[in-house]
Amino acid sequence: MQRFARVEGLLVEPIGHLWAAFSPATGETALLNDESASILEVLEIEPADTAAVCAVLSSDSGIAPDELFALVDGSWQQLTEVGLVRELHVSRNHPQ
Amino acid sequence: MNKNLQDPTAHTSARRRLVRGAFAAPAALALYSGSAFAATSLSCVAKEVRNPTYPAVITNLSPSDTYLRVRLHTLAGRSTTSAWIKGSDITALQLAGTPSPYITSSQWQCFSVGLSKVKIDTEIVTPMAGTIYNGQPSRISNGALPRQDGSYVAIRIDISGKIVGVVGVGISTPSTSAVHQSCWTSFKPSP
Repeated sequence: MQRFARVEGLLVEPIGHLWAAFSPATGETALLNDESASILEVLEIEPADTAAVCAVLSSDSGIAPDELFALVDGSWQQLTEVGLVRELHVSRNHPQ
Repeated sequence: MNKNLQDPTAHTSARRRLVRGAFAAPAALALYSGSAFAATSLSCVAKEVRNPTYPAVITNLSPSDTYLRVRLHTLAGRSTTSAWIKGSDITALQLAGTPSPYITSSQWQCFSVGLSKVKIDTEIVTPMAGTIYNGQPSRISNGALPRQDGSYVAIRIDISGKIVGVVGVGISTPSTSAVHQSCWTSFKPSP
């Protein structure tokens, strides 16, 4: 299962009803909605895969993890592209 | 203690802001800094000035060059021809917000001397290349006016965006260059 981590040094601050996230990896800032910011908050605890993130967000939103799975799983590409998260590549000899 | 005061150290949580029973698609919109585009444009101008380009006069009617240019107007005698730059051709290229060009709309600049004498309005003068005259030149003998013959010359611009001359005459200002149209296009801010 793919696991994801926050990019080191990521800064996330609320701006009105949105969130601004500055990525040192890209030097750019992105605007996030609550859902994206929540995913980053979950990853702040520790790197996680889609199922683990959904389990946490399920308790916050009251929605079943299965219903969240497609939305969260579909967000990784965008969050990675804007430099907010990175995928952890698991090594057989040195699992992360 | 006033309970209405918020704890300034309190951390806002995105997870707390989630509405129970609803979860929209996560969205992230990257913001791009305009300074990156500005830096590109400025470096383009700086590059042009640092490595000046001095092209020759272009004489074909359908040139494929990319220089910002003006037409030359020629005044032909029996065996000699002088070339002139019309001030209004230059001022028409002035970019909004930049200093006024080196020449006004009503002035003419001698680009090359061919005729020893010309008439500027009612005055007979000996034209000199690079000199700017307050009026339109004409032939003394028959009053013929300058006409376009298809030649062009590239304009020069300094770092402030001011048009300071054309290539070939009056290059007295250092650190100026003929500007490519592509550079000018990227330099020009959107209205």
